Amino acid sequence: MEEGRAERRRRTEAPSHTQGGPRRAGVMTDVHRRFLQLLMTHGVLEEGDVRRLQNHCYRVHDRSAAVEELEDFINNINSVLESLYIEIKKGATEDDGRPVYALVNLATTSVSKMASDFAENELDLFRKALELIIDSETGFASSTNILNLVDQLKGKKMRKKEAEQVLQKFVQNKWLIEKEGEFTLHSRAILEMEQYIRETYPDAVKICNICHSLLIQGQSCETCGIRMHLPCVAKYFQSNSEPRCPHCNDYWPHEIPEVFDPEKEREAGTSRATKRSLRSRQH
Amino acid sequence: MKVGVALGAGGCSDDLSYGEASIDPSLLGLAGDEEKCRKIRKKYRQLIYNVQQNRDDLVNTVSDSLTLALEEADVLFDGVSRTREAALDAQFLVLASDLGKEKAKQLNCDMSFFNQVAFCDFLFIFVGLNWMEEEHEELSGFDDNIVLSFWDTVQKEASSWILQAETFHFIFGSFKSKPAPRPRLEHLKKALKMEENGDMPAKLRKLDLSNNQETTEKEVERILGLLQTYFQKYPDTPVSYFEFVIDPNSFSRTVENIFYVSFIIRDGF
Repeated sequence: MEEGRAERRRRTEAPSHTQGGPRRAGVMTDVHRRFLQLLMTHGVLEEGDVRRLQNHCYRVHDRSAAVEELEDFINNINSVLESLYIEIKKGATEDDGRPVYALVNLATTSVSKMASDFAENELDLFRKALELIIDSETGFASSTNILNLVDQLKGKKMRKKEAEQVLQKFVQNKWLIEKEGEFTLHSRAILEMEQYIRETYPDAVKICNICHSLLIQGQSCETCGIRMHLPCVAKYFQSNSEPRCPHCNDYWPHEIPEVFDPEKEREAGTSRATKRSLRSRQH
Repeated sequence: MKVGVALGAGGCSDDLSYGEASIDPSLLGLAGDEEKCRKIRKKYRQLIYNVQQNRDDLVNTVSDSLTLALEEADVLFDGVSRTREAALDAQFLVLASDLGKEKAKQLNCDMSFFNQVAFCDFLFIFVGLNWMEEEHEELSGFDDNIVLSFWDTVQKEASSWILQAETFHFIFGSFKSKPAPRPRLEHLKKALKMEENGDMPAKLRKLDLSNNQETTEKEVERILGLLQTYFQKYPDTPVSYFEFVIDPNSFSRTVENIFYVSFIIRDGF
């Protein structure tokens, strides 16, 4: 308890990394509670799904009320969760810039250390994978490199086969993304671990030149070495025929991706996989 | 009383080489006992016979005839002083305890009656799968779809009984110890990691004293050492697995090599 209080004091003294300004504690109704429980089940959701979830919660509990603006709705919930050091953070996926919302834990307390989702050696594996991802040039760590570190894990000895399964568990729980045998951080992990990464790896951490937040995957200028997120590149060089590096003004060598457009997404797929997964959950 | 004993002793003295009138008192005691013991043995045998004859009765009816038999044996046992009778007593006890066990088993059945086969039938009916009697044997030959629909139905019903909200899942804050501060690292080339990890596991193996498969370990170590030397000499060429393990002159050596190399592969060096 003492340790928790000391850490809480430290947290409040440090510059706040919670989004949004200081807010007065809001009021939570059953609509908010249901929304929070559903978000807790999923962990991380894209903005479209979040809006649908919000509408669903209103329909279940309070058909007559007007659906509150999503941002205010979430700020309301966050103000109540502030004292528990939990927050719904908004971020974007690094590969195509979709806005996502994730429920993250903000503080290390004596209670949070007792989390039993993953065993000690599994958490250590995650930490090692995180380190490799941050150190890598592309933001991806190959599974062989991660598995080679299995001998150095703290806690119970883990076999390579088990380690592969643990990595798959991380992918299923949306902490890591796997692409062609390489692993990188899911946006959920980036939102939750950003502070931790900045504090623990201050020299190895990469920052996006445009949005100044943590960068795992992105494009970098070959001459001056600055980096930018793919969606940040898309927005910055939008409708610019001759993209030039903002720092050294050299010709930008990489392909400029498209800006994410939610309208186009909605047209593209009416029966997306995410819709099905929402319905199959117990509401 | 004494006359009778003397007569008895006289009867016995034919077997013994004593021709004297004076009789050993312990022998007198023994003779009287002999009669008693014979009686006890007869009674035991009768008891055992009775119990065996009425076995069904004793087990199935709600009577305390078994208790009565046990009490009788208890009384008889008071007179027992020699092993022959004690052996009969033991035999009777074994019989009685067997009967007691059967009685107890019957009792349990009546109290909690769970018929597994009937339950399974009801379960299938609940899920909506109609079974013909003959199909009971072919459980294994079924589609995944039927299996999935079975579990879906069970889940729908069960989840309404188990109302439990999801807990909050997070990773930040669950690390028990702070990571050690890293020394400033230069940009590392991500080459094949075999060489770097080679030293540490070899050291660990040497410290492993409780390992009693010493020859296997030594061989694996030796082969690991060979691989490492090869890689030090030719850093970027991969080794052909077949060239490495096959011994053209000896099949058994080849098998051994494959065995040792499999350890290295399993541990990921």
